[in-house]
Amino acid sequence: MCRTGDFNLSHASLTSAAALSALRELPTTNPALHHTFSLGKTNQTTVDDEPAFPDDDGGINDGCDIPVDVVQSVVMSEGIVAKNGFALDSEGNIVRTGIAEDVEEIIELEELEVVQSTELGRGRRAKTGSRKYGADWEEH
Amino acid sequence: MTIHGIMVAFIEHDTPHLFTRTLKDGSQFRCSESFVRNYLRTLGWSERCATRAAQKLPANYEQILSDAFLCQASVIRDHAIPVQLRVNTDQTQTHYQMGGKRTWNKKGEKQIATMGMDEKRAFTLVPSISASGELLPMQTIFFGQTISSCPSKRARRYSEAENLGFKFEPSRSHTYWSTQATMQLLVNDIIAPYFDRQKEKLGLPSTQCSLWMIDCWSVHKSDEFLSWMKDAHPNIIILFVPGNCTGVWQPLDVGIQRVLKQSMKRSAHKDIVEETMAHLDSGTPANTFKLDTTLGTLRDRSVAWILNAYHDINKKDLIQKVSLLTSLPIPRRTDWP
Repeated sequence: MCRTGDFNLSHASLTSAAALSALRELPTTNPALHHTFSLGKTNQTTVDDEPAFPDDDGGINDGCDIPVDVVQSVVMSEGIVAKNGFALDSEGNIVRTGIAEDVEEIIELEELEVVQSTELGRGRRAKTGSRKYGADWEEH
Repeated sequence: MTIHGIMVAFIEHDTPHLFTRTLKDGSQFRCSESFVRNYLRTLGWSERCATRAAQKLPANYEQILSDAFLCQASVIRDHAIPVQLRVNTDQTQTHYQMGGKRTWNKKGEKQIATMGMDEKRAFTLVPSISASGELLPMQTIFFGQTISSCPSKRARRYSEAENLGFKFEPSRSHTYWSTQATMQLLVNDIIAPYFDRQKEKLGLPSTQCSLWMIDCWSVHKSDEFLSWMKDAHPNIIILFVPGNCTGVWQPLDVGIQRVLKQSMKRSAHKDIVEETMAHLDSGTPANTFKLDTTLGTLRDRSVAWILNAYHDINKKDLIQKVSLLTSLPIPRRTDWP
């Protein structure tokens, strides 16, 4: 995302005093551009063809475990991840940061559980039941 | 993404406690994509990813964008265009099996199978936003020659999409891309009616000019399309996003598409999990069931994905924010040659 200065495509910026002043001064600051506008030519910068589908998400690939509201908050805050448990990786993708996503951690914990259930005897392992994958998970 | 969905379903079915346990740092396992990738690697699988060079900004992009800014400012000033009459449209492609650019194979395998990347297994979504923060109904284009190539009316939430003004169009070409014909339908059915409604609300005459910002794709720039626009919609002024600058100068590209795609991806993922869970719950042996990846099924499911995404991005503050994210330095006298 490019943020280098003072003008942007908001209506406030396009109709600002600074923008109007730049337009007023155009005959002296850039006569060629002024001439183009005065001829009604408004699309002089279209030499290159854009591909049908440019990288419209900037090549970003947030995992589908990342909630939409986290992505939205990163866009709104211009790239700052405010929610605990999330961060940006080196390519700008949002990722989870907790040790819960560490493969070895999970495998170790699972092995520990299996050993404990074996000690308790077959069928003694606590069952939490299968809950439909849905709203609860989606909120995380 | 398919593997990810299947893994989530198996964990949810067989070891659901993994999702509820809190670890010492307070985190809870969510079977993230990074976990899935690392896990598959431990099983001896390797990931192949079809990459494409990132869009490169022109060397003089600041000058180009300064000119584009002044151009748009002059059109707004000269035609007294209010904020409601400025719209940006940008087409984006969606693969039914998202993540199709990534494939997993046993390490050392030479033949790499890629699924979901052919012309039939994707569609074009055409969102439009106004500078005032309004999200317009979306046009969707599906590969095929007739309306039967589009989602069926039996698709989940089809009537909701219809009520919101969504349009489902067959491409009538050899791809799922927009064409001259679909572009004209887009303007006739979505863009022009939106401008007309706004003019009526604002008490402006029908001759009031509006501004439509699109990228420099060849169909958009073609004489055929521009001539048609001049004849059919003379009060809509088209401004092009300068070539190779969409990533910094197209409001839809600097934030909305990311949220939209994330929403669609999550909806598709959820469908995979639910389908897998249904098989497991019915007692189907894990090594015998097959996910339904037929085109008709995925196409029908896409209606709900699109609607979820529509609702997720239909937020005035988000839509208005992206205009602020397109930014360049104020042109000063010393900037000019």
